[in-house]
Amino acid sequence: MSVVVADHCSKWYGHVLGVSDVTWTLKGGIVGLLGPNGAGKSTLIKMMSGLLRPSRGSLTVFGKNPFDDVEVRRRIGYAPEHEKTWDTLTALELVEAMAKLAGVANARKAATSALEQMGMTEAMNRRVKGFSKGMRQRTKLATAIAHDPEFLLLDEPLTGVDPMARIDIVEQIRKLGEAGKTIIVSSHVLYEIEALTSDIVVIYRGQVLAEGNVYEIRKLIDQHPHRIRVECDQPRVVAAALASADHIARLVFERGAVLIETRDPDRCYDQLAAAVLDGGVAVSSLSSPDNNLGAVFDYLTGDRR
Amino acid sequence: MISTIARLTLKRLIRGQAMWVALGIAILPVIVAIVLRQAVHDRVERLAFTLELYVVEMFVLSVVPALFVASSIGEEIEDKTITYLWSRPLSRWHVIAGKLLALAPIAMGVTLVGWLLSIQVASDALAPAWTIVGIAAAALAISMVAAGIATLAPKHGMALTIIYMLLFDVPIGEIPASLQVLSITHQARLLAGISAHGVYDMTDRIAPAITMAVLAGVWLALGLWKIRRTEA
Repeated sequence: MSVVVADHCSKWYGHVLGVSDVTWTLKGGIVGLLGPNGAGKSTLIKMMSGLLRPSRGSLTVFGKNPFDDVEVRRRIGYAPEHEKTWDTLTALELVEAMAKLAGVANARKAATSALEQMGMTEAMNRRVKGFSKGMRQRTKLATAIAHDPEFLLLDEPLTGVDPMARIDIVEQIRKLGEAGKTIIVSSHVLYEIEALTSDIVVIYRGQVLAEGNVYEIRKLIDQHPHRIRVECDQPRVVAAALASADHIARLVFERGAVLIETRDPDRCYDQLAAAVLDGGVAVSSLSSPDNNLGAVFDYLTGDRR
Repeated sequence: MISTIARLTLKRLIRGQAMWVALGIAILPVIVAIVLRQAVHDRVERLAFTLELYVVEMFVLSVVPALFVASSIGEEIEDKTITYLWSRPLSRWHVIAGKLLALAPIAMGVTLVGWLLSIQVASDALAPAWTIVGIAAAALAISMVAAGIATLAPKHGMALTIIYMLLFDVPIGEIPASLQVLSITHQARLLAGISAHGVYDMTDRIAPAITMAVLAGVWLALGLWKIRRTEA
């Protein structure tokens, strides 16, 4: 049985489009829901968690409409994107209350276990008010898993989390996936999702643009020139060293930087390193605009704009 | 489910500031009673000031339930913390019921404490039993009104409830016209038997009680109708 079935599902907020005519089926596993801010990820997740209902079409979870069917929500764990929570409660009180509301018999035990799982053992008796963003994220995740749901909806769970906490949270989500949970994780950052799963759904302007393996999406990127931005004290020296290479598609000078477009990133990085060393160039920053999801959207939506 | 939400609500109330603000407002009639005691030395004469004390109490009744119930529901929806509750396997009316279960008795208790103390200070006597019933019923009814208004307009739920009470309910209750039947505070006064001459024995307490219940019920029903459709 499919976990989620969306059939021509659309959602408007007045005249603003949230999700447009999405037809999509989720069988299981960990799936990354990717899209820039405002793409419709949270709207889709909220519809799956029963907080919103489709304006048109239908969306079911385990064959039921989660907005109207109370019981199906027992099988769903939802961690919202927003940070607001009941700050005057301790993490344990908060998670325990959520577990109780989900019908867990021994809610205290379940909450303690969920918080321990999320690395909150030390802080569980502290009030949420004083928590860092990472601790809040962990607490939110604990509220989502405390009642042991089959289906987890995690809306931007890695936003604002420091690198160490990120590794830990990713590890916990992967463990939950290995335990057989179906998990949807939304993000607007490609590498966050790549660390979790290779199955992704790309959503943009309320529409599902692509779904499948993240590497296939990557291939789409690779078919296009790859961009490298070099911030340095001598951008013209760098450009001169690379200008004659056959893989260079374009060189664009910016203030204190040069933007390189190449068809062969590997060769380009090698030659760039040599040019920097030979020319005694002081590089202050090296970045690839293509390493973010925006580039994927640009490629996928190029003909729609 | 409802009791869990009630406990959660109480815990948050106790740790927040609303309780202290409400207690501060609730002692207003006591302050008036102290002033009255200083100004009028004859105890029997002071008993006739029950209506004046009730006028101050109407202000307390207009503010305290709004402070507890409307702000709790409104903030929950506006801050989106309601998403934690609505994503759980519970009906939406459970949230309103849980909040009322926790907060309406507190609103009743706080307003009654102010009333009992003010009567005690003013007349060296216990407040008449029916005045206690009238004020408790009014606090409960206004809590239901606050729940309805906060659900309909969560962003300004508390302010709108206070405005509704102070600019509609209380004034029309004072107008000697049939329109005053729509005033909860007027019905509460009838139930309590408070008049310009003190407290008297009402022969019909059923009608004001039913009217008050209907008025509060309409607001609550509107709120419950709205919350079924509200999306987070």
